[in-house]
Amino acid sequence: MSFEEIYTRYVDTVYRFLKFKLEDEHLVEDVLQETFLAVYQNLHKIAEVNSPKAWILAIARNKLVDHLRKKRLVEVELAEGLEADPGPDHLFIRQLLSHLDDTARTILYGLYVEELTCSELAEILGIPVGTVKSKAHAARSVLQHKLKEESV
Amino acid sequence: MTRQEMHELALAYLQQRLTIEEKLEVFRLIMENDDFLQVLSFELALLRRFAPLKTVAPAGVRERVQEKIIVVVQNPKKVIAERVIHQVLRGTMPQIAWAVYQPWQRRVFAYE
Repeated sequence: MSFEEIYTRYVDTVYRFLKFKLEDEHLVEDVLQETFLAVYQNLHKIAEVNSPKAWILAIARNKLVDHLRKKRLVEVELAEGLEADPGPDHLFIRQLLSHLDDTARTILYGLYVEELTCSELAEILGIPVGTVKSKAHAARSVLQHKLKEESV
Repeated sequence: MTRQEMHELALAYLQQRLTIEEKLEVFRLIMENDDFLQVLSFELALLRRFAPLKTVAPAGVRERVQEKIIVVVQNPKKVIAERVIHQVLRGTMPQIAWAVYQPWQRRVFAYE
């Protein structure tokens, strides 16, 4: 697979993921660029990976963490991503997700938006599959509870 | 089957990731298990809630990032020089001047 094919296929996935994590459009663009530059530089490895999507998202997550660590903005930016005005369509799900920690939010995002498997999420987050499953289950319980509260 | 397994099966069914045998198991559960029906309904509700997050990259961003990558790959020395200048200016410029400089610089490099 050429770099152009990879870029065309996964640019929306990476952009969406970064936009979910960050509100600052400039920062999203910077990290998007760094991610695909790293993909380009490691293109020879793609044939060896089980899931190119998980591999690219893991790179994006690492680049995001590096970028924010450099700027010492981790907590501010991640919180901003949830608190800034995201428009009416996004508002409800963002409010709902604000009840969860960052890892749980990423797991649910991966499962419900990117349709990733628990194994792929484990690869992206660098945690065991069992932890992904148990965190997903706990997060679902929290959301179920919140949705019930809302409907009462 | 545990509750957790029910959620995983229901989600996989809704995302059309099941084999024929697994689909038959889902149909059986729908007919016989009220708990599974509740789980299925919850998973459907969550999928609908998450749907607005399925956005795509704006065409401008998509093209600009691709162009920047090509520049970096084709002319790495120029990019390193730009990064050094960027770091020097960031370290020496007053905060307010930096806030003005940054958006200007992005526009200039984007249309270079």
